[in-house]
Amino acid sequence: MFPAPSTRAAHVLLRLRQIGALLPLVLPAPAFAQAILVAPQSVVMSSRDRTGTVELYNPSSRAAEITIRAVYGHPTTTPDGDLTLAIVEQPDSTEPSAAGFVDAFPRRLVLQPNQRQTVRLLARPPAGLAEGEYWARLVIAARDAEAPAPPTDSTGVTIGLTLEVRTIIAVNYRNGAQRTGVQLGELSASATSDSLVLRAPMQRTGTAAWIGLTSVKLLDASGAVVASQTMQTAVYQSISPRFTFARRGLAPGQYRIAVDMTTDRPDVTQSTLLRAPPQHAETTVTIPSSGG
Amino acid sequence: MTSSRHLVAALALFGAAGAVQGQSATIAATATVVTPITVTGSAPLAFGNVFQGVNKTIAFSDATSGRFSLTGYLNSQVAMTFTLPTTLTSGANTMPINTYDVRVNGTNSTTGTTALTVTSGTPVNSNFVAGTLFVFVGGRVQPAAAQAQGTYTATIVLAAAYTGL
Repeated sequence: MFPAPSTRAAHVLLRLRQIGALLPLVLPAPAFAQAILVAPQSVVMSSRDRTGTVELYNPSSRAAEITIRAVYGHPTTTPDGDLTLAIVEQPDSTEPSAAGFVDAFPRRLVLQPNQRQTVRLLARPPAGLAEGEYWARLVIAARDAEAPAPPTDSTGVTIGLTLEVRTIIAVNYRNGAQRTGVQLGELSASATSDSLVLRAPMQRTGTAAWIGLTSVKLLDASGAVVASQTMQTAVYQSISPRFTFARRGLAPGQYRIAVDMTTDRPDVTQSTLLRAPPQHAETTVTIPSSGG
Repeated sequence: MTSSRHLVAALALFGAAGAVQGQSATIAATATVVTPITVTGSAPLAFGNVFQGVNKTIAFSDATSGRFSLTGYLNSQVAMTFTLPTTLTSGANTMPINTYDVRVNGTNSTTGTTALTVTSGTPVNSNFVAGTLFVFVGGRVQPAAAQAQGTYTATIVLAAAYTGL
């Protein structure tokens, strides 16, 4: 049932090597850098467990002043189909905001170089909160905690712009049992002078955000996949993302575009990932023989 | 922190194995590596000394341009929101900074960058094709002819978030 010892050892070593491979991406930072590593990228709390944790790490060689606050927000799409993060500082009462009842402890701290800190999250929902999923984004800001060096020339005009970095993560609160799903709307595809453009309307069903993967394949008349792309997708309400394939190298003719949506997300904590049936939709698009 | 918890679990398993040397049992240990977004402000946008009445430009490719770097999950998309100040201050004195040139690249090089059309406070997207992104920020300041002496400062903010969570 278990792999042979040599296979096991190799497996563990491989995984540790993968983790080790990440460290150079995280650890080396210039002497004047402000940086913050935040994990995980999403936290799910519930009426059964109203607590969560976020780990912070300062990989730089300078102390960082950290501030943490919760705001309401979720991914959406622009009219052109670009994914974006909509942040609403003052949501109205119709929005399922958790920003007002999710607190972080501590909310202000100084992280010394290479220091770690666990931030505890606590949800204190109002009494009588209706069942459903409530959303917030945690904004973790880091700026240099050390005073800048004094100017070398105090008699002239000197200019310097400092940097502040912010990491924004998802915080969802589930009040009661939740289910999710997504409905693919009618696909629309068109050919522009240099691209094939697909719009894929997506409507969330169920009571909680749909988190998954969208795979888009471009198939020629013989059914062969000539191009494909995969996008990590979050449907909180409804979105209509745009997918673009370059026309270069594609012969004139009719093509099929297939869209598949699944809740396979290896980057998300599996115990909090809500599963839903896969979705599939197709459309066709024609590349004219000339122009068009 | 999925990766850390799994790593801790793996290390704990190693420790446990050492503590029960009189017995023989084996289990599989696995770790799922998930890359969080790490945003680093690598270098401030430094104009240094300027002359009164003389505009000064720092190109995105100059050695003193502002620089950010981001690491993230391979092939994921990140929304980057910049806050670009329009005024520098030195006590009660101010100076306009009204032009920015923001570029992004998958490698830490000012060659082969892509220009970002940045509106302060509005997200722009980029993809972690290779797991890293490097952002270069240039700008132009306009000191007045009677600009008061002093050190003028402001803060550029870069906020980053995965669009798929």
